[in-house]
Amino acid sequence: MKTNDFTLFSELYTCYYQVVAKILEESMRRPLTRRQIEYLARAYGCDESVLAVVPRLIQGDWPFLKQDKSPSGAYSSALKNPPFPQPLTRLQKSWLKALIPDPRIRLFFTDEQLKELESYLSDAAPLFRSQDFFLFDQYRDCDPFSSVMYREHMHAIMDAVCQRRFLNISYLSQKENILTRTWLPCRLEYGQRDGKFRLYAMALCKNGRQRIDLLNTARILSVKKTDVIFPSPVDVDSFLDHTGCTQPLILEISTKRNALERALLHFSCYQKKVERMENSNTYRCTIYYDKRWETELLIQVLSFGPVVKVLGPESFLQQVRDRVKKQALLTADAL
Amino acid sequence: MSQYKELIKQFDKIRSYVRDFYIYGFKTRQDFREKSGRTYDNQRRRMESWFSDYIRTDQNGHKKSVFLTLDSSRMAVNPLYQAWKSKTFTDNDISLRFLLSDLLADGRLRSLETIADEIQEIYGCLFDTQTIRRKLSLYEKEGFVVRKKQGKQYLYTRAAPLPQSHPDLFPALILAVSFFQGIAPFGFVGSTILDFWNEKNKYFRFRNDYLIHTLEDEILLPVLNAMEQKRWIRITVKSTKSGRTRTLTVLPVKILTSTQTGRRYVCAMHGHTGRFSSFRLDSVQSAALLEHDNAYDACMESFQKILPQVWGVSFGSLQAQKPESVFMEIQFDEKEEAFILTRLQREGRGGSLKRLAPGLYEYSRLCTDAKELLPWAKSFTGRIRAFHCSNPAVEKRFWDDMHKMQACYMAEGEVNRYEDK
Repeated sequence: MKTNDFTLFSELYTCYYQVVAKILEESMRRPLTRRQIEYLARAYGCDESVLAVVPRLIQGDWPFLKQDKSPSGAYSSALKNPPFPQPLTRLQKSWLKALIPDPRIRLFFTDEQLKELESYLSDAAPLFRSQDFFLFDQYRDCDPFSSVMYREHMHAIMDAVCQRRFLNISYLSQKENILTRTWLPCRLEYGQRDGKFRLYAMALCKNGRQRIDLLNTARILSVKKTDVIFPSPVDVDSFLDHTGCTQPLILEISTKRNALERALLHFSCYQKKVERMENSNTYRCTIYYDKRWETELLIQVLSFGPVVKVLGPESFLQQVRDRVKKQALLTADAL
Repeated sequence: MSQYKELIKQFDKIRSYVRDFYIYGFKTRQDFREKSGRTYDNQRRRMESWFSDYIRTDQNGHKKSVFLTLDSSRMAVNPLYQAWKSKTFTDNDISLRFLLSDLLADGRLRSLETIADEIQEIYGCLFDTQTIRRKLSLYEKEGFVVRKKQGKQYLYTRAAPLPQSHPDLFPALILAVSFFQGIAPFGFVGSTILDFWNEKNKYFRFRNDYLIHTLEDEILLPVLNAMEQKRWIRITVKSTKSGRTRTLTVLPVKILTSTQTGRRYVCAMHGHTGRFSSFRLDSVQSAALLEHDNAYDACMESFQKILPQVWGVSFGSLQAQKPESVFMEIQFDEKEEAFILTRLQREGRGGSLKRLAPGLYEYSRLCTDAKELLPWAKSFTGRIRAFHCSNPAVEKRFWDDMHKMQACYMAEGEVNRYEDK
């Protein structure tokens, strides 16, 4: 089986199928009014999907709903079986198969489960080969994905995240102190740049307040399960909202040396706004960033040199000025 | 005039629009001159519908720019995957997708004629057997449907969904797919798996994630196939700088991905010169597979030999000549700023590091094109005691930039004071 006959852009994955499946799933539980169907189409489709999906379902062009004879005229599914889960396509299996050689896959499965997965995918050809890719500027100190201890910690963390179970964790801090605390693992963040997992974990303070800590999973020394389960999901984003910058970074980007294209692509992972400055051949880029990563952003800005100029905020600008002055002094000393 | 539809027939038609709305964001209707204004209006309307949570507008006089803005580290699933989930279909497509799946879900084997009869009987829908046969054939190819021969006829049933056939594997697989859909190539395929299982990525986020890469996947697939099959490809490349389009015949050897700049390249050997070049995937418009090359392994060997001397993606203009050498002295407080040493070690891409004195380190590296190293060197602004390069133009560019930075951020008197010193 050759891999080049895959069609990536296929009707099989269209969002309308997903919207219809959601409506059918719901209509199997209880008959739905037109308004409820429209609500579901808006919730699971795109902004205008409701205009295309709902009339076709109601009018029977897509013959999946039957209308009650009751005065409410509600609609229920004409199908016998729930639409989820669906069997995987050949493309989906091939994508899964391509993941098998990745050392990170072992963080999710036991050896037995991995064997079972390989057996399930035995007739699929991998969609891609990891050896064909090279992340040429990835940092050298990636997490030790093949370490037995690291794998055990990740398994325990992922179980705890899913079960909302508190863990007793011993952690080697950046300052080389060993901290032993009880944390509730909430979310894992992966950075492709440094190849590291970071764990967002909630700690309960003595005064009863909740706090989110960020732990480098590779610095975790030991993990022990507790019997304590947190009753409800933790909204990590609401904690992170407080770490956003109070004033965005404002950059002036020149068009020299293809700087505009380079900078906008470079900063595309941030929430940003770009404006064309009339009569100056420059662009103003406003970047909303997380204060925790300010130094990293500062380094990125410096790497562009004079083609990207910081206009504000003052605190950020001052840091750039300090570095440039320090550099001027170093250069003068060296001469 | 054809009626506006939210869904589209061809992916490549919207690729550049999504990119412009997401990367640039400042462009107005007047900037999209390659196609008609009506085409722009339709594409803008699609973007507004697909990405409604992340679309913003900016009004400048009479000109309105529409842009896509989001913090990628907050995204559970790349919103740009929506573009892959926007293929048009017919009423027959969707009807048979659901009806066949529902009918065959009981696991019973049925002949084509029985399927046609039961669809009419149970769901009240009449389809000719040819239409059903074509769909069954497609679904069999896709793996939805299993076909078995019994006597002289073929019988069909639905493949068992994985959660039912492998219940012990399923919870771990949801987590794995949730993770890899965010970081693996062709991640949108992973997100469709979550869709098929009615699951969501609840537990993973991705920092500094370049969401835009997904738009290149339609080009990436034939390039990867060519690499696997050791074949040449014909690519059409549109320069991001000049807008000029050219067609080249090359032998692809590696996909070079930058985790820091958001760029992804295909590195390939030119047919005529035998030299390596890198082409940005977002500038490749099309890729067609050509003939197999028996000397592919030898080409790969030369690539692997030269790769350690490449800083980024440039193999230099004079590949036969000596590589360029870069020396940089970095000064810092070893006790308070140990992270600088960590940076040099982990970001130095195989360069040598020597401690010259307490708090003073020399970094050196050979590069096929030392110009590529300049952004990294400049990221140490404030700590660079010396910078030398065997290519005088590169060294000059570095110091010119440093002087321009001083002119940018320091008052004139201050600059003179330091220069006098």
